[in-house]
Amino acid sequence: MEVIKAYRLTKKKITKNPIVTAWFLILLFAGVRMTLFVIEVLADVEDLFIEPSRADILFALFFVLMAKASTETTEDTFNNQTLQYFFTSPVKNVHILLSRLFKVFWYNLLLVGVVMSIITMMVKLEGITLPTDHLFYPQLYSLMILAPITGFNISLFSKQESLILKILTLTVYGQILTAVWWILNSSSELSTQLMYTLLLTPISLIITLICTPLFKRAWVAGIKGKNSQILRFHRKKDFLPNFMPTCIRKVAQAEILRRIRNRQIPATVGVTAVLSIGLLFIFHQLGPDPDIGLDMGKYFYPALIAMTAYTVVVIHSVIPSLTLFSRDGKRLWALRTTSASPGSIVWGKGSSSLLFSPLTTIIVILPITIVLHYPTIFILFAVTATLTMYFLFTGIGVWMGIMFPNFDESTRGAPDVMIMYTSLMICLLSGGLFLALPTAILEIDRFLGLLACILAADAAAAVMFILFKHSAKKYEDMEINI
Amino acid sequence: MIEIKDLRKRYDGFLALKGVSLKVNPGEVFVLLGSNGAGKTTLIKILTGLLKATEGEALIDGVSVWDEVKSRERFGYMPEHPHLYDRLTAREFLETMGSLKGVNESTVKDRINKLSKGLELDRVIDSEISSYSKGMKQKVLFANSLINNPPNLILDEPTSGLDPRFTRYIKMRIRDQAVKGKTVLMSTHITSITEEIADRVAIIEEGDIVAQGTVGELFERCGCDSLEEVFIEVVNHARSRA
Repeated sequence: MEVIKAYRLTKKKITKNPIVTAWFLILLFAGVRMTLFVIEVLADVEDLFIEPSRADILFALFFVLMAKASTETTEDTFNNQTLQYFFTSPVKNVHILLSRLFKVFWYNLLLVGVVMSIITMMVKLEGITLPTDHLFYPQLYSLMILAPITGFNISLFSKQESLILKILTLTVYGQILTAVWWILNSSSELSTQLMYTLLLTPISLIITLICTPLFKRAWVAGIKGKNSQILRFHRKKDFLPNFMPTCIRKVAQAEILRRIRNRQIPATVGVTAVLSIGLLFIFHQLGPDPDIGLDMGKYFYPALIAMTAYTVVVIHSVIPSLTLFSRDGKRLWALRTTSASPGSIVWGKGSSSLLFSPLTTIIVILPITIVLHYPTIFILFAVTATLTMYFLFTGIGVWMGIMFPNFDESTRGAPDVMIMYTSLMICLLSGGLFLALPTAILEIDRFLGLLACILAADAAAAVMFILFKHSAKKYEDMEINI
Repeated sequence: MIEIKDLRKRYDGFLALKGVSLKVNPGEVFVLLGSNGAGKTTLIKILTGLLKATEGEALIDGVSVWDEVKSRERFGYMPEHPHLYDRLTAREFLETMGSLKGVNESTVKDRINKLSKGLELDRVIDSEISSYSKGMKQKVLFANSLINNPPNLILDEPTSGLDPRFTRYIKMRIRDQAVKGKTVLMSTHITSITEEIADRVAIIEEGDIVAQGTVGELFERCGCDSLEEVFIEVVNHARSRA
């Protein structure tokens, strides 16, 4: 059933938006090619400041897929109200569990298969030499099979209502992760390592089956938690400033409240703080002037700050903006039957993302630039550049979100992977385009560089205005028949 | 006043509304009675600006709601299904909606207090909507339709999910609104409710109005003594003709 549903959904998406699909494929190929190019270049560099080992790379890839599978399981299984139809039918719990596990499993494996096929094709066609050994790919595939099962189990255990049971199961099962790390870093033969890794898959699967009685409990706890009143943010009066027009303020406020209560904002703020701490940790480890090879030391921190700022703006602005209307889904009738102008609705929703720009500046930009003793003008440049990204990316996110909304209830309005990837690439390219010139000028003259960056921020704000205006038109023309 | 002129709606080749015309006057409760999928909700969604008519006009106080956003201040709408923002409290939801409908904040606060008392929502008004039962959500929807004290009310299956006590309360409130001079258009497929509160009834079948008039007129026309019989006869007749 899930396979048929996914197939029909994909077919519908492709036929509905063939241009986006084509654009997505181009960007996917370009993204993979760019990554391969970076790997190829870095492989040739001697004395690179970080030399990730084979084990580090494999473990990182395993961890990413595991985390992805875990999040998907939580959203798609343990927070999924529609599973009640299965639980109230004469189907064994173990069969329901296996069907959910299979869904996470085949979907992630398919994704890995597609990406690996593209990489293999490019490597063969262009004769790229990657620094890998003959057992790298078999071991990678064995880990990619293990990762979705591990992710599923971690989600299953972390959703247990009893804290003791949660800690106990996670501690015991966490040993699988330790085992992966230990196997990859052991001094055993590569073939022995591969055998051990392959052994972990059936062990994990057996643990899943043994823990079947916990499955329904986790689902019940998940659904209950969704409706829980605990740990929710309550407010007595309006928390946004009165100078904002009433309609915009009310829409933005409702949007922020919902995101706080859905724990989206606490999660993204947490990730931002972790990234900022990561930057400070790198500074602590490498000092203010690291020797990274290629004579690129002086660009190291500016590049790192730019990458972190991009990531933070994406998680605070682009991803929420993409879902601003699709997450409302069947609730959109409420806004559409009010007399608020479409512009106010779009601005209200858009500002809920824009309002996080000061937070990003405070948490990410200021600490690292201060510890690096950067001159004030450079700090101002970094702040303005972040603001430019906020304006530009929010505009793009809102526009893409309303042009290609995903009203599929089963995904709860989460952005479609093609739309999300395309949006992220457009943001990356346009951000680069807007900030390349000011950065080049900054190299020659700091004051003129800052001035150019301010102009870039103005231009980005203008682009955002235009995109919001167009989004408002599209919103008004949209028929709400969900 | 609500006016619909030769309204047609086509979805991918399927004609959901086949040239519907009707007029609802101030002070009148007009009920759209129809089977499931007859076109009641499509008609209401066009009237509220959620859908665009393929042909014809849907006017509220003489203005098309699709073309004039400001005209949406002129009606209150209650949809059939209680799709609400679960993470907001009922008070937050109603405050937001009131402000977006152009009512000033102190008036919204007063109205929320009055409506929540009348609908017995006052004890849960500051709890998240996610914790509400279906009936409580219906009450929030009803309160939302009245939050801007509009001259026109458009209600899609307003008593769905409500217990008998509140069904009676809602029926009384609907009649009260008409007595106050408001225009009420509601849809339902429950004939007993229609008999009790409707001034005029339109029976809609397969996107077309097949009978229209007061309850008495419909009884007389079909020689029946209950609206249920009238409905079955009219619908069967329409289907046999098709």
